[in-house]
Amino acid sequence: MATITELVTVRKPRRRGGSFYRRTSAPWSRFLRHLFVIAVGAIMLYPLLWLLASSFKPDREIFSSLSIWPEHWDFTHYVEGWNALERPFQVYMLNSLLLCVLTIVGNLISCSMAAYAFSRLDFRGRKGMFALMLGTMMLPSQVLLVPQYVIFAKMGWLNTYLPLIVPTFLATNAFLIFLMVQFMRALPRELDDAARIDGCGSFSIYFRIVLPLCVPALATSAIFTFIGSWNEFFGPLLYLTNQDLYTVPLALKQFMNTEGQSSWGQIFAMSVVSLAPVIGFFIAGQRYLINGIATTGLK
Amino acid sequence: MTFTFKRTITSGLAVTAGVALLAGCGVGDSPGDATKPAASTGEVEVVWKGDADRAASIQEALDLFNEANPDVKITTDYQSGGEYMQKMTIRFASGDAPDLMRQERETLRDYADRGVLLDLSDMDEIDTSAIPESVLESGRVDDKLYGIPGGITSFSYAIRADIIEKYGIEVPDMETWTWDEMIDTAAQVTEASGGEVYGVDIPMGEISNLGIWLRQHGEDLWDADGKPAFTAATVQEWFEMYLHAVEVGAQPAPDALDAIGAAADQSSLGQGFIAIGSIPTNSYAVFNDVAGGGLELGYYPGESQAEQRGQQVIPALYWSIAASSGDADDAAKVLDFIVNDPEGAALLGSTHGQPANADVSASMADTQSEDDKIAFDEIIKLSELDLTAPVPDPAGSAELREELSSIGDQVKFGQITAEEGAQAFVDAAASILGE
Amino acid sequence: MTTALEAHPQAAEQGDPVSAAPRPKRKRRSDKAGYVFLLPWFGGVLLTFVPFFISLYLAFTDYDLLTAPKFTGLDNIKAMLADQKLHQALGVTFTYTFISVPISLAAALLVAVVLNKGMRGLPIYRSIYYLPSLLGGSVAIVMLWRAIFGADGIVNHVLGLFGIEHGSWIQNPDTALGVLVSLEVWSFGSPMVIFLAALRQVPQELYEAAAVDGAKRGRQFWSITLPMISPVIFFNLVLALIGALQTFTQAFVVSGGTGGPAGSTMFYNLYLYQQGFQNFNMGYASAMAWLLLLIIAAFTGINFYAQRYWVHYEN
Repeated sequence: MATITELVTVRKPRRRGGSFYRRTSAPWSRFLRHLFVIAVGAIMLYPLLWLLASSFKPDREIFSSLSIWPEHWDFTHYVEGWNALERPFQVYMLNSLLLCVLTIVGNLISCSMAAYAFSRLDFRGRKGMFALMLGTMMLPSQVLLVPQYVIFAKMGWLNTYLPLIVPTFLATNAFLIFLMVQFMRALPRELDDAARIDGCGSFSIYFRIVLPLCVPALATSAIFTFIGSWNEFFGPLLYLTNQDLYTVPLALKQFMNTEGQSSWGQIFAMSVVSLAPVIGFFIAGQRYLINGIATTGLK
Repeated sequence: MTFTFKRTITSGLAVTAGVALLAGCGVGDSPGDATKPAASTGEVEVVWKGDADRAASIQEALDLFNEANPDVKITTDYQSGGEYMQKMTIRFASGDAPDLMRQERETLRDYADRGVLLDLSDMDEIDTSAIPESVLESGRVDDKLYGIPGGITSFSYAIRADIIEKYGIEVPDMETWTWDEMIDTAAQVTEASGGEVYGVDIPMGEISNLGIWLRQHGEDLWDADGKPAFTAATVQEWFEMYLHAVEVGAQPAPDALDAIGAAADQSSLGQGFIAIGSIPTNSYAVFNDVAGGGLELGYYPGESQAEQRGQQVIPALYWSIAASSGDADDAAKVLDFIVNDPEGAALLGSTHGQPANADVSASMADTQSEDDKIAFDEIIKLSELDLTAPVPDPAGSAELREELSSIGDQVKFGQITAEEGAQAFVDAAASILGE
Repeated sequence: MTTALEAHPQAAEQGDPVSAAPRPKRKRRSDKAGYVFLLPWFGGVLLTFVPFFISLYLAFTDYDLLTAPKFTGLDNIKAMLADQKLHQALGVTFTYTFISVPISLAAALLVAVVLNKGMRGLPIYRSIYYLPSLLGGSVAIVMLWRAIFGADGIVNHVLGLFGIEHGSWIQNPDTALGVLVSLEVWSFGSPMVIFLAALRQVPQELYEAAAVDGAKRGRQFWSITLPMISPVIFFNLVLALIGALQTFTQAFVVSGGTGGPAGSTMFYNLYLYQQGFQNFNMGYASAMAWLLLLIIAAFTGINFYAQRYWVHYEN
């Protein structure tokens, strides 16, 4: 357990040097390794760079050149692509943003509450419920798909955002709960005890002590949730029929349809626009993301 | 609140089971019967399939309607592409059906059989007198009129005459050409261009094209009762004709061309990758525009030699009113306008096909573009020939369409032989349409 | 009011909520608090379990959403046994899973091992590798893959430089699935980061001791590295398998929702979606969902059982 605490407590300063720069062997081996790593990195990044470059290339050039620098710069794809669908693209981006924000709020509140209960509180059936929660991580959502759809249909929630948002307020994301539980377990219990002696109830402890200390885990959860929600395709595909409500992935899919008059250039331009927020969040929050999955991965 | 752990679990399970049972029973009733008129909403919701361009032209037409009928409030929605009917079903299922909507050939009968569409024969607001009977008939199921044809069209072959002439090849006479002549010309194009341009792209896995072939051989996809009306042998010949075309170089290999959509400016024909292809007749203007004016329209190969001509004049779409619409009368007024008003038709343009109303069609002749007139004339020419009248696609036709596409792919890539493919299609039709 | 923790100071000292000193009739003070905090979760459980049982019921019915479900007994199961498309979907899904997951994890492990030796700019490389895994499931990237592997795409261009002609990888039923496998492998960054973290935790002393004993690098890898990180490999393997079996977005976007060409990208979930939400055979779709559940449960069970043969826990 000590090693997890080490990794999880981001309060400690980042280690520079140390194990990142372990003793290496012969220079040729180092050279080969560098070469390998760079080559793999280049292959990984090339599709993304090509995408970016192609969004600025005139249609003719896109499929005739491999380069990641356009020969002729063409900005019209962004303008035309923006308006190529039923609504200007910002409508879809705002829809996605709305969904993301609500999803994040729902997840953070409900999952942290559940995590707090599982990690800090003692109550009858806790072990069993925790096991149940872990079990739901393995449950394929397809089993719930049809009945949930029917239930939502009968409630008149089809073609609204409700089926996508309400579950996030009900702590249905076991992965996030697990992540937060791991984090909270590592927090020193003395703080809790001190607070209780001072007369604080569980809720105050949750709100004033645990939650603030959990900011790294909350940040990680928020970023994961944002990326997941922004990219989510199946849920919106299933529940949204009105184009005004479409999210960015659904809008992108529209470019594939038979009635459209679009070109690859426009598709690429809008793809870049749709990936930009994800990449942006990634760059800003890498630390949290990478620490986050490293933690849960190590269980 | 003290209770034992066991009691919590058992009571929890009981509650869950009870709710599940209740929900299971409740799952049965629909929110509102889709077959009876609901209350009026004071608005007519019009829904169609299409893209933003079509939406603009329809909106203009509806605005024109509103000038003459300011008391009818109209709201609109549209959906492009394949999910149109899927979303429509969902709307009907959740009791939220629109008032006036586009119905497809493939689904009209399905909806009519479920009783969720209004019988339009009694609606006085809709004047069907100027619509040719054969066309109107295709919207009837059991003598009730469930859909008014919104436009008529057909499938035609089109040739990039500019490309063919560029390579010094003779442009074939599209009124009398045979399948062999077509393939031959196509092979010449491929050879003369050194593979730059392929001769033809035969839509081998597309069910309407197969239908034309079947009718040329005295059969058809389905009969008036919706049962399969073809033999494996004829289907096999269709597949074999395609394979032969690939062999002689007339048709590109199945993975040589990509397609992200059937839109004209993405099409191989429009872009000049192939010289001969099949297009919806009413789309001629759009395709010719992309092709830079070098496109010629004509009959399918083999029409003049066949036992029975295979082409048909078909409705491009239907307009229907939901049985549950509370504003059926107003919706009927809008429908009547769309179908019968000359000015409205002019605004709608040709994307929905040639207007079914013969008078309206004629009145458009002056305002139409050159290309639209060519398409229009072609449709008129076809309707004056002796063609079989179309019947509404039977329920399950959409599934059969998918089957043919999938089987076609397997034959194309050599995964199964033409004979096996034909038999598979016969079996699929038997199981989907019944025998 | 004495709190439970004050009454049992041992529990407070151990700092672990699970192992309080065992006493008969221990008063669980925070029962109410626990349940209150779990209220949202209880709601979620309801939203999970009620549909769970309904779907079991629906699996034995004929239901098209418009009319009430009709109980049809084992008809759906018989239909599934005879359904060629279902079998093909299972085949496609299994092929994809058992090819892409091992390759992807192996690549992740390989790169992690190389990175673990340490080098300048390691965090940068790690980020570069991780980013694609965040994007791999997005519609935009799958469409990019369609362009890359299309008839005129980058891949064919590169092949053309070597004089090799090839048609569209997407339109060809033999290679369409391979395109998706390549996309999954491109997304190896996520397990790689986990493996890297795990590798860093393997105590240096073990390697040094082995070196003293004369063990070569390769031997060290097999006898020390792999066993020490085997729990992590196991965890990732199970999650990746379960995830791959549920692939949907990639299948939908690469084939335009058709599962083509010739059903070569008709993943199980895509077929389920078609049956349930395009053809509205919801009873059949429910039966399919339960079959998937059983398959995943079986897989997970097998994996957990097989643990004892290759996973090494430190306790």
